[in-house]
Amino acid sequence: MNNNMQKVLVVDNHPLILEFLAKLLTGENCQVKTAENGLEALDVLSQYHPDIIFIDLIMPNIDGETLCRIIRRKPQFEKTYLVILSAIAVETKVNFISFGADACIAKGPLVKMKKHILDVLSEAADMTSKKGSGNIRGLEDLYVREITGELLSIKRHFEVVLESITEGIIEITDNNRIIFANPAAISLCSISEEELLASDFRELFNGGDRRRIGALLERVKDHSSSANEGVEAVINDRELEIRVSPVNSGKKGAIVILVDITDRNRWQTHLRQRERMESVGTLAAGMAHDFNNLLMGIKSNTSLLLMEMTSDHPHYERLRSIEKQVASSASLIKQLLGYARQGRDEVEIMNLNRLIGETVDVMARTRRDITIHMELAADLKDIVADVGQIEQVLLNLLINAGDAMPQGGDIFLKTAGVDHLEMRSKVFKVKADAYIMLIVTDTGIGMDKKTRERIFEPFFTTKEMGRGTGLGLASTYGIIKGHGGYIEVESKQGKGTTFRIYLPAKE
Amino acid sequence: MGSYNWEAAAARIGLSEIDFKRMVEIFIRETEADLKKLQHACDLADREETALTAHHIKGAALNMEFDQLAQAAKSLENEARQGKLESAARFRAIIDAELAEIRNSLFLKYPSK
Repeated sequence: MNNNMQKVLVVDNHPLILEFLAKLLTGENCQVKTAENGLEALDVLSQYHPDIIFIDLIMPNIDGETLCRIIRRKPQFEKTYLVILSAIAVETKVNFISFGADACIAKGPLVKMKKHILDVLSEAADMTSKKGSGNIRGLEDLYVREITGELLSIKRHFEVVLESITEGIIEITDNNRIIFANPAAISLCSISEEELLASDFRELFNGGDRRRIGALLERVKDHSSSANEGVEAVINDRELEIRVSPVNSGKKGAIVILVDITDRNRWQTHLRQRERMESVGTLAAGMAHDFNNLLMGIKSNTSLLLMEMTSDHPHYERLRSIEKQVASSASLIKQLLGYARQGRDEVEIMNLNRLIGETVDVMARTRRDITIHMELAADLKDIVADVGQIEQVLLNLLINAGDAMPQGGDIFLKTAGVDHLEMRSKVFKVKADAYIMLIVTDTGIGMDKKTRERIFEPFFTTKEMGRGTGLGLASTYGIIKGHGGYIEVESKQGKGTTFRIYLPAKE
Repeated sequence: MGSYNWEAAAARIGLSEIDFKRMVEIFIRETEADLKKLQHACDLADREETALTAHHIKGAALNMEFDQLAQAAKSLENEARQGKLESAARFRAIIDAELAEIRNSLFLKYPSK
């Protein structure tokens, strides 16, 4: 092949233009390939590196402007000369420079277009020529077509609507390739438009989600699914409701609507969790009180008996053992009562940073394989709280973090002041106030979604029988709630866990 | 173009007669398909589709300088955009007639396939 031969791609949905340019340019010693739409052009460009691309502005399956933008973002086409062919150049000021084209030729009589096509061919070959004057070639050969202006206005109207709505809208071909995505869809998918367009829609999903989406698309194609049948799936950790409707026109394909339901699901989970815990809490509180009373009866009688005997009495040790076990049971009941309680016992003004320092020392001595990192706000406001209960919260969180890292790891502690407005995205409804925030993060084994939804429930534990009471985090939850605060958890299996606690700051 | 001078038309564009003949054949084929779409759109009183298809026919006709056909398509497009389809059948008939003339002229000039 002649090394001076220019390589050209022509992209137009009218076979007449494709035929004309192919013949003309071949006659000018060019190597020519053609494509009937933007999608096909991207497929050709995956294997072909042209010097010049002629692109029709209005065509289906990725229009000319979008195709230009995609091509310009690919480094390998940085020097490729892009020429727009426009049938609407008269009605609308085609700002082809803004979407990366180098020249624009108005469509009209072929004999007139030929001159402009040969001109741009020369310009493209001349690397020193100045590109992009912004003028549309061939306008003088045309007349104003008023009706096209109205068509364009309608088109623009729909573009504005699609750009404004918060749901993601994606159009796919009958073989599932994406040919349009509005800004909301691009944001939900968290990948660039040029990667999204022309890709297979099913590949946005993993595993079971991909299979279910594929099955839904097949049902819609076969018309065995009613319009707007939906499934739930995950993209980039966002939970989406996905609805698919067939395209009701000559061309086959489907419209996919993506609705982000992550917050809605979190809120529903939170509500269910709260209802469950409140009903368990009511039951637990009642039982705890009864058990406490029984234990006090055993304790007082045991103490009285011990007072009447000396340590060499044959029953002395047995009674001491009973006394110790009663004390352990009372401690357990206290935790359960802590979960169920609504009030605080003995409150005082305290600084959380100081308490953290003291508590962390205890942890550091017992688990030398764990490194504790602290980032504590120097100007942290005081809180009004029961020191003993807050200490219990800290210990619970640190012990849980340690248990999640049996081979050692890191714990990160952070405190900061936050305003209720900064907490607006949280699932719980926040009272207007200033808060102090405590974050405890570990690099441990993490939790799956089902565990995460239940960890604050009393008696729920992931530890083996006898190794956990399931009351630590339940009482933590109750204590924080009792202090007018909030607690939430984020965790992923294998990726660690983060607890966030918010407590009202003292004015 | 009236009675068509295919050699002159080919020379004007700078294509060989064979290549120009091929382009006219493509034009005829595409316009026949568009006429069927037009018929369907008019039957459904779909003014939007009628206007878009007429616009498509007009563009190709202008490219080839089949001015009378282009004019009929333009008139049909205008009417459809104004919400009227009363004259649609008449304009379709004109387009059909012009296309028939182009087809016949081409066949007379180049009788073998």
